[in-house]
Amino acid sequence: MSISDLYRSAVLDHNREPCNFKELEGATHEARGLNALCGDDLRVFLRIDARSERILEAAFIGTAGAITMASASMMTEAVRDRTITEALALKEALGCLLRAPEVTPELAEGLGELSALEGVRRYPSRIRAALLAWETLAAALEGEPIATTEGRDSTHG
Amino acid sequence: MSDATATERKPSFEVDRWRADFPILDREVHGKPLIYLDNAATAQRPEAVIRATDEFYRRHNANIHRGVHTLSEEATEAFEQARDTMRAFIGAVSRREVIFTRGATEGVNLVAQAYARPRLKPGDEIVITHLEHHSNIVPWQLVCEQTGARLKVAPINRRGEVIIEAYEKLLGPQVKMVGMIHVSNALGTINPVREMIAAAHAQDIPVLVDGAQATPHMKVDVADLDCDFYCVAGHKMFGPTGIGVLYGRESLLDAMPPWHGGGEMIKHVTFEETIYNDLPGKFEAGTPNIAGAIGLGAAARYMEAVGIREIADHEAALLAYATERLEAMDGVEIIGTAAHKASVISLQVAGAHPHDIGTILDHAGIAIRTGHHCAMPVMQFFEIPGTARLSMAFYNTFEEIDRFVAALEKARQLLTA
Repeated sequence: MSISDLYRSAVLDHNREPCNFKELEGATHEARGLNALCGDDLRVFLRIDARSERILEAAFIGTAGAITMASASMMTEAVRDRTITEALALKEALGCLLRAPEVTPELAEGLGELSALEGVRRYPSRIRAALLAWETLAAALEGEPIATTEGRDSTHG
Repeated sequence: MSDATATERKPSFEVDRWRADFPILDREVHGKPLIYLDNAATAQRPEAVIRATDEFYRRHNANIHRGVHTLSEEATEAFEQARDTMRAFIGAVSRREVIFTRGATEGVNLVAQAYARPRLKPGDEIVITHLEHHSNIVPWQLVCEQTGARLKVAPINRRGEVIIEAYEKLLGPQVKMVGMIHVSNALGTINPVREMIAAAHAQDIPVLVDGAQATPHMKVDVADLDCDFYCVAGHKMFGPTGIGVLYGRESLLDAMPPWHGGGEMIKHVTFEETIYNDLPGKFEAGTPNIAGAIGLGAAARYMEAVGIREIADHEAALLAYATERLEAMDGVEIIGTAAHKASVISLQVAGAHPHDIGTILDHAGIAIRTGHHCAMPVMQFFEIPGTARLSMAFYNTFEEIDRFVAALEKARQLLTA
């Protein structure tokens, strides 16, 4: 596969100019996400309306590779005005897409721009990167302060 | 930069001749010829090393120092010959000072636990430098937790060099141990270890040198350095993984208790009392990595056949050329600009994360390391999460540097343009 399949233009655009890249004032939920393998370090902020359980606003800051940055940026756009249940369903749908051996139209359905992350399927370490922001969102919703992806620093020297 | 491209340079070193000894350098990655620039993580193995380990298993495999049968005697002889080879390779006086370990990390842990731990009291200090690999930080932190001793860190400057005056100021009667990296794996800095050791010895402080990144690049002579302990990693110097050498001054090793207990490290065992073996067996409990030691001996002999002076000269030329080409690139910053460096270059590309650079270069067949290089405090000093690092060996070529620079520029444009 070609390198442009991993780094699609939507991914590169979000990496260069991430959406909602800021600390969110008045955030009701917050968590930090760490990926030891890549050295990615994110903080995800959510402002949620308690009564409707709807995400009014999402934002993030941090340092990370392009896949992590693009996924986080797309996430902050994708979950806005969605309920917590809908946001978590979106996370599951993205995970299914990235772990699927073959991409089918059904898998990409409803993911919109997020389907541009599909190119990471052949890079196991990058699948974790693509899901880091989403794991962090889930941790924030559960009141967990830190989300980590599995995997360890496996090379030395 | 100069107009001379790599191909116009007259090779003074027969690099193609030596490359032919490394079968892996013939392979392709993503359809492109492999360019291996991750030698500081692990180097590649020449035929001589592969053959030595292969032949041991095919012809001589048996446990050592145990049996009276022929294979056991052959295995013992090959293993002990490897020890003699390594003794000469690092300039140790006696073979009793050459302990086979699993690697440089195990050497540091052995010294921390068997030398430092019994001697340390609360309030004592251990001095290391800001350039250390985690393997020369964490074993000392563990022994500090166990004894109440404190870890002190000699600072570095913006070029990535230890500030010698500050290092010397840390030394004093409360300091019971000094640990220092010989060559920084993250930045390539060569520490002036000879002078730093002399400064510690002026105050009777023993010194451990982590030489994992030094032996692949330069002649190391522990007698000339006058260090008390020196750690070697086999796989960084073209030998197998899981094998290394700890050099220790005989008088210090003699006074140390064993670290691990088991077979081989004893002379006599009853349930009431055990008499420990003499050096070096005292520190080699259990069946060692016999084939690994034999392979490491083969690696040392191979390096000597290539010529350690020739290796150093070729790598110095590669380093100068790569540095010049990278300095001429837009948006590229070299992290670590010490006056004395081994052939390691850490860099950052503005607006591009090191891991993305690494992935894109991999698609061009180029293997580099990205991240913190197991030296997180170095990254913290420069306030960066990590770098992209090319680390060159004597089998790398000027043409490979040209291809690396071209691929890096493509990656930069893809990620930032």
